[in-house]
Amino acid sequence: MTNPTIVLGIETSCDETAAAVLADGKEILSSVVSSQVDLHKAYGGVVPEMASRAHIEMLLPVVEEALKNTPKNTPPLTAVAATNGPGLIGALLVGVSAGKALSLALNIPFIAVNHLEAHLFATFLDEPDIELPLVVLLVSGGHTMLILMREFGKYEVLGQTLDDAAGEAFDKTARALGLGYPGGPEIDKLAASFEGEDNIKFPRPMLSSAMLSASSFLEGEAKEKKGGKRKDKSDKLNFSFSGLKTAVVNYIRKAEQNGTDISTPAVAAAFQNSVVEVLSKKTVLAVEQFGAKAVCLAGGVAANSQLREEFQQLGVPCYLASREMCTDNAAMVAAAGHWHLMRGDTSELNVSVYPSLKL
Amino acid sequence: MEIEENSGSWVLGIETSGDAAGCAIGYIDGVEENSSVESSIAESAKIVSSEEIWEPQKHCENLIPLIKQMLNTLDVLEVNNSALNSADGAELKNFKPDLIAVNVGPGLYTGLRVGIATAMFLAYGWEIKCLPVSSLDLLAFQIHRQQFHRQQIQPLTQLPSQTNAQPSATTIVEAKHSSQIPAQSNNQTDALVMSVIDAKRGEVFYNIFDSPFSETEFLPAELKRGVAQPDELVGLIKNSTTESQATKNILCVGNGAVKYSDTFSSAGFEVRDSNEPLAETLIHFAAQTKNLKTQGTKNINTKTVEIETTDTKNGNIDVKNIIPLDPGELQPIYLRRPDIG
Repeated sequence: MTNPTIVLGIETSCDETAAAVLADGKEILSSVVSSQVDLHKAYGGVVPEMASRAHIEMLLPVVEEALKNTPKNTPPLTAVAATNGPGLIGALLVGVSAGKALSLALNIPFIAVNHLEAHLFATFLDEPDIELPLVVLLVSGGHTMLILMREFGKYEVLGQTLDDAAGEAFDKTARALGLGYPGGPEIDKLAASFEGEDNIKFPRPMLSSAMLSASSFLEGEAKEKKGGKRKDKSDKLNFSFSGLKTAVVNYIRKAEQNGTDISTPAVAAAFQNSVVEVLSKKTVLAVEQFGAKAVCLAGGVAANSQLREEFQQLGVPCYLASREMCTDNAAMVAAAGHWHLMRGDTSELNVSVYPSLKL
Repeated sequence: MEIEENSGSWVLGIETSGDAAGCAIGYIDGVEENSSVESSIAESAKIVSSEEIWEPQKHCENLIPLIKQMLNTLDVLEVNNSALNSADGAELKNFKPDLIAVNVGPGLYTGLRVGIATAMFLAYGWEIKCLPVSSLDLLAFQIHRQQFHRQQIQPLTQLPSQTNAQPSATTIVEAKHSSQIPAQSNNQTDALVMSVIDAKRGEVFYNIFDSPFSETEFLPAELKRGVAQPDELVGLIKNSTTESQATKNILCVGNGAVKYSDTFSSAGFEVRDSNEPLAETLIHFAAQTKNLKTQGTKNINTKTVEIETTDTKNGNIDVKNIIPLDPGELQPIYLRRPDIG
């Protein structure tokens, strides 16, 4: 029997310092996440220099803990994988430098991992046998994108946000409502507690036009298959959440001017209804358009209860990673690293970090 | 670290506090117990390999390949040197140093963290310790070292006002005549050394030293080792200097001194043209700490003794008692609160 492949994953792209040990790309032997949320709370968002300082302070203890938590007979590490983008440059540099150094000291390969790809791998850690092609909705504080995955390693971004990410909209709306940071869980909780009439209706940005033109888009697809030219990729699968946030802010301001009380849970629920409807309907559009066999939810906003509920009723098999795997973690980094390692796709030690790395 | 008595240590130096990614590997002989700081400056270390890559904001790309290249060179090195032919030398294929000396700042935060994370995780993987060295201490030590070696040829007071000569490994080894070294005198012509490092945003990190390892007494403790605007700093020094101290020359070293040379020159200070901290100086610095040689007979318990090597508030930096740290204890010296932006 050959020894299992043991990969250490390191994740420091934003405000979580994380390390995990993965066996054969599927069995999580340990996963440690040290969140900096409390540090950044007072500022209503991630402060880059504070994040970097916390990473260098926490990374070694976190890695140590991850290695210590593995079962007793775990073989030595086969490789080290670390996120090298996208993310905050100073934060990424800590994890990548650490990963490279450890790989050099232990004389094992280093693999630089794309954070977005790692999120895609998160789902497969829970559900290894998902049928392809697959549409993944990746929604977090930094990203909102629909991705078509025809096979591993081949990703097509079908649409993404033109301004704020969905998670960002949650944070900003929460701030407007005087709620805490991060905004996602706060709004989720409040919206769930709301039982009144659904009187407030916020816009569904970029949805109605997309729905209207969905049929003509499908015709375009058909034309293309017959050898005709497809129309330019339109905005149908793109998102925009900045206007929605503004609508909420305006609603609050108007109420203040009129001297009327607002129900915070009602506003939270209305905001979340809008986000969830836009995300779900656009995902369905993508599934129909590209004949996907399944959908996945990934990224921090995928922990939102209403979104998870809605996705289970889309009419296509839907795979929801556990909440721990949705938010930033290092097991997914190790999983992506393992996949690249198996293909002999390891990184040179002069590899850089890329704050705006694309999928 | 387990090193046999009288055997030396291999030290890896990592320097990323400025624009350069620097790395050096050297060997430190077992130092005799009662050698003075002065004589051991000459004693120093044998630098086997030393290089800086001057490319701003490319520490992450350049540092690890540079270290790997140096380790590989060592793996195949054939040296007729007793140190290299020792028990350590027999296992050069799996060469690993006994200690990592790393510049922990102050300096440019992003690069600094690359060097510290690298040192930390190399040391963790190798199961060795790290020696944290402040960039301000390092610069002062470096200039003292250069002057010391030049002193063999001519008196300090006749030094040319600028020099960019860096001591190469060869000259260091050749300059090793510890018995002929005169004790450092405290006469008035001795220069005070002020390390000045560019802190961006119109400020500099600074500290002032009397001798290689001794901060000056004339600045109030709370004003030592800080961050200030250059003209503020000059004012501070002018106000704090007594008459006898005023006759001393103040020699400013570091990229901050060069950047604001007009300010410092017009205050009557001497500014060295080029003096960036070098990785090999970290190894010479490490050679000054007797705790590298944790002989079995000595009562040195590295676990229980905790000395803030760089936070010395008054007087001497007790370099002989700097304790190598477990990698997890390494922390950058920022001297400034994080930017909240």
